[in-house]
Amino acid sequence: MNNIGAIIRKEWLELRLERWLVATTLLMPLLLTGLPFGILGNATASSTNLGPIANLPMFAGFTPDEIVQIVLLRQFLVLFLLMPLYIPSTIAAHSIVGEKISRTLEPLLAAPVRTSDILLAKSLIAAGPAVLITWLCYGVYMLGASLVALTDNVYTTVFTTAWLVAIILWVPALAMISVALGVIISSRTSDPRTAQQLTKLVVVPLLLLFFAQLAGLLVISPAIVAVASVVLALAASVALVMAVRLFDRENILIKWSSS
Amino acid sequence: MPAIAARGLTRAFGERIAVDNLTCEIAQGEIFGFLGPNGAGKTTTIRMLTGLIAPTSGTCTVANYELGADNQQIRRSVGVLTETPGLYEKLTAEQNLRFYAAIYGLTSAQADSQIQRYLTLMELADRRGHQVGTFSKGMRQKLAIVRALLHDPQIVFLDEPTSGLDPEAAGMVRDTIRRLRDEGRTVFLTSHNLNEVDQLCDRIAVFRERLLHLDTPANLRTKLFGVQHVIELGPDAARWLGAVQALAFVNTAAIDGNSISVTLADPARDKPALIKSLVDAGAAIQNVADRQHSLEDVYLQLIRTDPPTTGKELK
Repeated sequence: MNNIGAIIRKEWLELRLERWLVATTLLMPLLLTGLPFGILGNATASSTNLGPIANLPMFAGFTPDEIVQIVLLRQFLVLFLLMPLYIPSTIAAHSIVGEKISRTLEPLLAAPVRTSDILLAKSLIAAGPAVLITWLCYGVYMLGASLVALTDNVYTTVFTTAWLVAIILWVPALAMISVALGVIISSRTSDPRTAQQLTKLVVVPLLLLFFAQLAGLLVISPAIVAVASVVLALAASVALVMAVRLFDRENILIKWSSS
Repeated sequence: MPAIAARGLTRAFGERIAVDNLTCEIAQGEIFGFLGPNGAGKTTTIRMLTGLIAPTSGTCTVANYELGADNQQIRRSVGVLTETPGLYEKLTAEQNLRFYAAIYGLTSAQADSQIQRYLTLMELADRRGHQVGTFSKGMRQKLAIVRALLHDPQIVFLDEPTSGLDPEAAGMVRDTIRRLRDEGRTVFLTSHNLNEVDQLCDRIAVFRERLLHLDTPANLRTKLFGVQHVIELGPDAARWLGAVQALAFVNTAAIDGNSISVTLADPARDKPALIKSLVDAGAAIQNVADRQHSLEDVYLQLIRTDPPTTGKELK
């Protein structure tokens, strides 16, 4: 545990000095959290064509302005599942491929530290901030929504217990999947930018979810949350096992393409 | 017990053999020079001996620990200066060292003392709070050496330790290496600076995929070139060549400017007899000196006489 702590402290020191990386990493969560309120301020039933959505049974009893709020606030919920994929991919690619390029990995691997400790520390430093930032942004989003919601009914329709559980359970799993994919991709490239770009492909399935919700095809129900939690936990486990296998001293020194 | 004992250590990458059947013992407190051309397998050997990569076959003990089974203990017992310094450039010198002190399990007080000790030794103490990114190549190299020594390892692997250093700093590093030997620690040194190897090493191994030769620098010189005695006789040196060649104990004799260069069967026994013979014959000897071949001569001779086996494949 001492080694993991030492690596996390070192990574944290380095991360704090990477101002450009921190700024670009925090930009998306800030935008995604603030953007909905900017849109909501200008969106009313008279300015928005709700089309057939207004006739869905779930919106029975809501005024057109309330429906606009519900639809918009819900759209942005999915974006909070993008954050734990985006943030760690940037940090993990920088942390792992960066060490490889600056040739700091060999002295570290020559020290009495287990590769699993290195991987765990790097995963925690990449996934931890992502999870915390996402939860914090989601809290801010809930608070902001409670202030702008036209009625309590609008708020409770959007921020269901199912969504809360999904955010609590899915965010760490998604963050770990992102880190594991970052490690796997980093093991096949020597350029951090390429690794970061490739790692960001993990958001593609989430974008499908976003569009499914936009089209009204998907409502996050307790059953979906339960099933998806199991699937994501399994996917995270498989991805981590693969990452651990690739993050092996000999592989790193010999088989990872050199810079 | 030797510090390092390798028996048939072999490493292949696919079909190509990088290190072939390395067998040698390195004593505690020995400075061991490991010489070879680029691509000879020196780095692969160091990586195997430090438990970074596994041998394809063979066994080895390092600091009395079995390679493979006890790699964590081996890593704890050795210090490694890798080919490139590999320092965290955004961090300060002290932050770099504190990180490794924690990894090697030093307490905060031990870390304070060791960091101060070695930074002072390497004349970097006043730069401890500076970012490594602002350091010159030589300062980085010295800091990487400090990192390798921080936990007082029993065995130190130094890959080109004076590369990029100015003569003064290189001298400081050489003094440090001698001090390590005086403290009873073993130093495994690779260097292309053969003069430095000659000054420092108790024994040298000439290596190219396999161990070509292993001995003290002096013995290798003698084996290859014998001891050459140069007898300065003035402009008429050639006049005495025949008399010298006629002596039974003279192996070779040749004119070398105003001198005759001679190798003898048994220098300790035969040199006085040679001088006496010349004096008795009336030669005016101006000077007698022994000519030392440089380690570079020895190394080049050894490398040239053992052709490379690059591309050797596993059977």
